Amino acid sequence: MVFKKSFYTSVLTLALATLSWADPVTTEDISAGGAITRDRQLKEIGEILRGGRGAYFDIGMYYTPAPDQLPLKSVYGEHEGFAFRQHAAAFVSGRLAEHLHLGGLIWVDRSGWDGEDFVIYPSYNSFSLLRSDFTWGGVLTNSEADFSLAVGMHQQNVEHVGKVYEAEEDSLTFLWTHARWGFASAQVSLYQDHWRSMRFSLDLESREIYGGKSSGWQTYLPNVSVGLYNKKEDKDSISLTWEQNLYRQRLYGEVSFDLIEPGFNYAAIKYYPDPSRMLGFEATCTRRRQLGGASDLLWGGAVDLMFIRFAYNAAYDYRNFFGAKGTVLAEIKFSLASLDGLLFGRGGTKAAPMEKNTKTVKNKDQAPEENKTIQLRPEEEKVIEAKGIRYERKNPSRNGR
Amino acid sequence: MKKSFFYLAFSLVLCVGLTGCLSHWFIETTSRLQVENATEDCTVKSVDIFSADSTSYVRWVDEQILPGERSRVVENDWVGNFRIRVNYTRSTDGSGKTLHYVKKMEVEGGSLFLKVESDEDSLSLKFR
Repeated sequence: MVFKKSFYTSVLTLALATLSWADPVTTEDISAGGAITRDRQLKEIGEILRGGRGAYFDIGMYYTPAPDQLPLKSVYGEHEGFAFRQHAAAFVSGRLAEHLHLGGLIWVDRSGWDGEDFVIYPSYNSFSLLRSDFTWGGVLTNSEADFSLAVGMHQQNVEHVGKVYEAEEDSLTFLWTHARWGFASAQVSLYQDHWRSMRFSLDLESREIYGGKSSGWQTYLPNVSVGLYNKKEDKDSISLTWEQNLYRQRLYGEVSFDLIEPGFNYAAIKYYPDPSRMLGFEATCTRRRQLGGASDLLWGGAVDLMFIRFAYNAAYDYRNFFGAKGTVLAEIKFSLASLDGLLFGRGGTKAAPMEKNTKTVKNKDQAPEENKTIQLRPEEEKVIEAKGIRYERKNPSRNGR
Repeated sequence: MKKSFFYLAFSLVLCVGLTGCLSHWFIETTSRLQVENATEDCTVKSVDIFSADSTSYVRWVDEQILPGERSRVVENDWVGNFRIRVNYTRSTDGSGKTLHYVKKMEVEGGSLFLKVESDEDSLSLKFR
């Protein structure tokens, strides 16, 4: 060991951000990650299937280089290591007949906590948990009736579960279905013969990309979704999420509440410089899960720069990255949705402005004169003879130098 | 513009691909512990990691260490902040009642040398 680890850590801490300090993730959060991942994948699928056709691509991973950035809190203490999440998704569809489209989709997530941060070759130590979730399915869309039906499966595989986690099954298979008619959609996820989660959404906001209005009062209608979760030990929960366009589909507000155990979940103000949502800025306020009867608010935000996203205490990461907080997170990512040759980000309302090849003609009445180019013909080559050598003065105004 | 973008993307992919390799130049993800009993009147029976709620433990060094002796090196996955429990007896041959000494310590990873010392009436632990 050339350098002591403390040296490495101090250099990294200085280099990364002065804000950054360590807040551990707990084994309970890591254990609960599977259900949260499946729910998020379904939510994203719902957003992409708002049109029911087109294509989508997504790839990304969190990059947390320091081993004490997200340590693991187990019953024994704090373990240094790396919480990680890698994700990829793809959706493609093609036309079967007029107004009938068939598509296939797959969402893949690999997440957990490990003692080392090799992407390919994990360390699988006594305190690691590595889990992958696949959600795949087929989609049939009738674009005339504006109806989509998707059916598929979730598959969860556990690569490794350390001693400090609650026991997990090696593999679990869930069935899911998504049905959409116009702006209304419903999703159900089933395990064996009982449901695990349901989501009902009303995406009332008019979106130009799906043939709606580009401006006007219809674009100010809300997007409401209600999620029902059938958890273990009869601790069901219902959460309501309300997304509202505040200004020209660039500024949005979003609020989420839990209904059974009434409580504020999170609120966010989001700003997209362009309605295609390729870039985004958000400020969020999250209610922290209760710790010993006390609950407090977590203020944070995120900047999404298309290829990289920086977040600090953001609501999305708190929920989807094992309650990660107190540290600056970098996510290297890229995602793009496409519909009829137009590109936009997931959840976008308009196509991204694309580079256009336009020619401007200054005087349109006058036809441009053609064949004005000078042609060099070899038979008419002129021979220029040098008849004398003449020196030119460099500065004719300044004589006498 | 396109070229610089390509280089940026390439270096990002390289960084991500090599992230584990890079950090492994600097950090250790296991600890190799050797315990020395530097006391004169105590015998170290074993060394544990003791849970924060004091309800469970995981044995790390399972070896009787007589005064002045050193244990074998035992490698384990403990890197971080933990409570270390030393089980010892007030005798030079390991007989008698087993006593416990618990101390929260930072386990840095890599090769660790834990020295158990005794003052007049108390034990002290030191990583070297």
